[in-house]
Amino acid sequence: MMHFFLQGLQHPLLYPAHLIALIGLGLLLGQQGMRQMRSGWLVFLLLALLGLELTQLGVADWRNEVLLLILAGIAGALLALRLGLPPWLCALLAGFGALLVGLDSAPAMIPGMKAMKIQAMLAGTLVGASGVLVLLALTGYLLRNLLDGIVLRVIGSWVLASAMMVLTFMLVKP
Amino acid sequence: MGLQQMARVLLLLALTTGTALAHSDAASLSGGFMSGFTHPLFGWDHVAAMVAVGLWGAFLGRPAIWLLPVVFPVVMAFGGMLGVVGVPLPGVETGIAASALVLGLMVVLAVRPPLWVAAALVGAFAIFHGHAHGAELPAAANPLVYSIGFVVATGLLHLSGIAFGELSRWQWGNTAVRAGGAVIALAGVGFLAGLL
Repeated sequence: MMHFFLQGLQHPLLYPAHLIALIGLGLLLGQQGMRQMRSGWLVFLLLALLGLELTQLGVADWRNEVLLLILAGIAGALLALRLGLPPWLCALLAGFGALLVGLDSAPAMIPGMKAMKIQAMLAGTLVGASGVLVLLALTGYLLRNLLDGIVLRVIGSWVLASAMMVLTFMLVKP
Repeated sequence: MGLQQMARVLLLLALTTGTALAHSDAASLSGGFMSGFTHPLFGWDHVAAMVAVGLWGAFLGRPAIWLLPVVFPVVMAFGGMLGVVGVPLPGVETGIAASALVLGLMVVLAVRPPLWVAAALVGAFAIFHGHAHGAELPAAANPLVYSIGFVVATGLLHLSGIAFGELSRWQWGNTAVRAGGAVIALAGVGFLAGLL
């Protein structure tokens, strides 16, 4: 059982689109302050859970990764611009990202695989993705005033640039 | 064996032992990232231009100190997209070499143009750098993480330029930064002439 949980735990780290989106969202929430960080994380947790469980209902697979990369690009641009965002917008971005991460983390269906193992994998993904988000948000919170916020602005541009490149590559060479 | 000796042995072992990765995907991911990360670092023309961007940004002060290193990777990614899609761009290598010369000259001559001019100049050169990276992307081990690797390496080169450029707050540092710009400009001449 633990093996499946650990597999789920590392899932968000092994998919570039997931990782870029989590980096962008996490740092953005941290940059915006404690209130946005708390509400964003709570919404992320709930909607990631919803997205993960929806994978078990066979929800149609849209191009989740493409949408995740677009979201990462938006988060990167907002980080670079360092605008003060209202909490509802941060929650909306976090919720949208969470839903996409969840929907895009369906475990491979192996015939005869027990439901508990699938749930362990989904739980691992939930803990992994929300844990990474919290760590990044705390990092963003600590860095938000360092060198007048330059460090986070520069990282935001990297997130935007990486999302653009990965998105292009996915669309051109699927 | 004393504690210090044991610590040394452990450190030696840690440095000489390869990482065991249970998943082939993970190995491919780290390989692709390292391949992309090291790509800009081993091209001296790229390194010179990236450091010059950071130096010039720090030299110009706020907001250029953050604006130039933000503009560069974003426009570079746009150039990279052109390269991946296969849109031809003439004079890519000349553009890259010229970027080191021009940006180096901006630092050594302490040129302080309006912010938008500096951003446009840096952005124009970024297209050449991005196109060169983008055109080489498909051959990478894992192209997706390769692109992340080279964006991060580029940003770190900018940050090293900014860190060096921050010395310009002091009189002696100002001289050192302008000397750095002179070295980059000279390297640019070497790249253009094909000597480097």
